[in-house]
Amino acid sequence: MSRAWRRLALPVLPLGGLLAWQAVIWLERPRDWLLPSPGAVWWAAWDHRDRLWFHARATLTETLVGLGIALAAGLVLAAGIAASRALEAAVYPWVVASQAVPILSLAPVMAVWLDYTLTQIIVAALLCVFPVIVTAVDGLRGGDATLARTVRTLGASRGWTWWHVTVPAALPSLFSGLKLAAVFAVTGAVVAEYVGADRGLGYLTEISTAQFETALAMAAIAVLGLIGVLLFLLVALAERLALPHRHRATRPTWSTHT
Amino acid sequence: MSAELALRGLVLGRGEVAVLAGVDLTVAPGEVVALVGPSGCGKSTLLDVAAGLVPPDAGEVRLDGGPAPDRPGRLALMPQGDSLLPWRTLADNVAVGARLAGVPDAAARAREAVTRYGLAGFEDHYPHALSGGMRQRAALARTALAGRPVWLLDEPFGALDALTRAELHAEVADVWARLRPTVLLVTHDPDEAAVLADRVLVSGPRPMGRLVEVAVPEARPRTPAARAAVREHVMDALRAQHAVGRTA
Ligand SMILES: Nc1ncnc2c1ncn2[C@@H]1O[C@H](COP(=O)(O)OP(=O)(O)OP(=O)(O)O)[C@@H](O)[C@H]1O
Ligand SMILES: [Mg+2]
Repeated sequence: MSRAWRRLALPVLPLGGLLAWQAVIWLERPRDWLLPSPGAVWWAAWDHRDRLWFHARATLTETLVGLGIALAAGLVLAAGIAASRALEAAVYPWVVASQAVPILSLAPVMAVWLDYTLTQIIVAALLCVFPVIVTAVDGLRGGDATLARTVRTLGASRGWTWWHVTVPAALPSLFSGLKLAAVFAVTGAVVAEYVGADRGLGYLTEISTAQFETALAMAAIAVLGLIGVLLFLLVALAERLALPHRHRATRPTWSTHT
Repeated sequence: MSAELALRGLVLGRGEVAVLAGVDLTVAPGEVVALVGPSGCGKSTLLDVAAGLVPPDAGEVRLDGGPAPDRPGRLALMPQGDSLLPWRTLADNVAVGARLAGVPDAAARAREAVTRYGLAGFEDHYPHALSGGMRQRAALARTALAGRPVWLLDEPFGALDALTRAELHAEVADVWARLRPTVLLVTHDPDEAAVLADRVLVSGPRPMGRLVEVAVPEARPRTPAARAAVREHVMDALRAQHAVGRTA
């Protein structure tokens, strides 16, 4: 399929969905609070843009802080697990076992102990730390041993070899984990908002549904979707910048890698 | 820039199988020794042990009569197959060895070497955008630039067509004449041994034990007749070793 055709393919699904939605409105004429029209959702979003922006900022902050914590803790843990068999034996099985507990079920308990924002941050972090750890460990382990051995014979220290061979080899796998983590973090923050919060898009969705402001709730959900896509694209962009060799034949001018 | 490399009674098992069963081998300073043997006989394993990457079960590696340092680094290994870092450009890959050795103008010298090895114009290309032969030239340039006294080369010309291979043989012979490194060259190709090596050793099938030295007429560069003779001797030795391996 040519590039132009693929461009055209992109909006097909959402347009089809909108059309089907509008068709239901025309044919069934449901009450506004039951199913508002696409236009009504659009105008609700416009009228309440300040509120949406306020709550979006809250959710985005929780998501990003949670993601940051998961990334920092997950990478340190993964580096340790990949480097030491003893640490792997002591820690890795528990990391895996911890996933058997539905993380989201911890949110109400945590809300008892912690303040709202902190609960949301921690639930987001817990939900997205697992893909970070697993993909980082696999990436750090899976590199081509020949490369490491070659630079060792050329005089590289263990530290140099780790940083310049093992880590770059792990990045593609890690970026896959990050894409998952970015999306999971939004989910974690929003579900924790349902449990207890005084701000955030999850909170806004909940109170507007309760007040039969379905159009506003749907607008909040649309913004959540937007945030998820945005974070995903951000990670994809970081991946392109960090791994230029995966996408091009020659070194780009903006690459600082030497 | 050369040193004597001596492998003494090297023994190594991998899992259940014996791969090295008492290998002795000496390469004099500045000498080029070719090691020819059937696939799977333990040639790459021997180079790993020589480079200090894998400790032997018994025996030792000596450099200039003393024990080789535990840490790899004095012997530059060019491994079999691809060994360039995919995330570095050609020029950066070639410069790695020199950078690690602390050569001050590593980047400039790498660009020089890129031209010398026939890769001019591809300095900023990533390895995946180069042909297999170009990658091997780059790996060879990197090894040369690392300035190590001993080079361990594992089938360095494996992915080249016959013509390029002959050209590169001539260039490499030049480089060796200039730098005089001590070279242990693993190859499948009796011709290559005849062109490049001062001495030729032949191994039987796994496990690699006593190596048979074949008679080599003339010093390098050899006449076509002398090369043909070396090739015949190598083939004879391989056949004889193969027969021994079967009856053993
Ligand atoms: N990590 C390993 N674990 C178990 N066995 C191994 C390992 N590495 C190598 N071997 C075995 O050791 C033997 C020698 O392998 P090696 O790579 O040294 O052969 P080679 O002579 O270099 O062969 P080729 O000419 O095909 O490159 C092989 O039979 C192989 O099965
Ligand atoms: Mg081999």
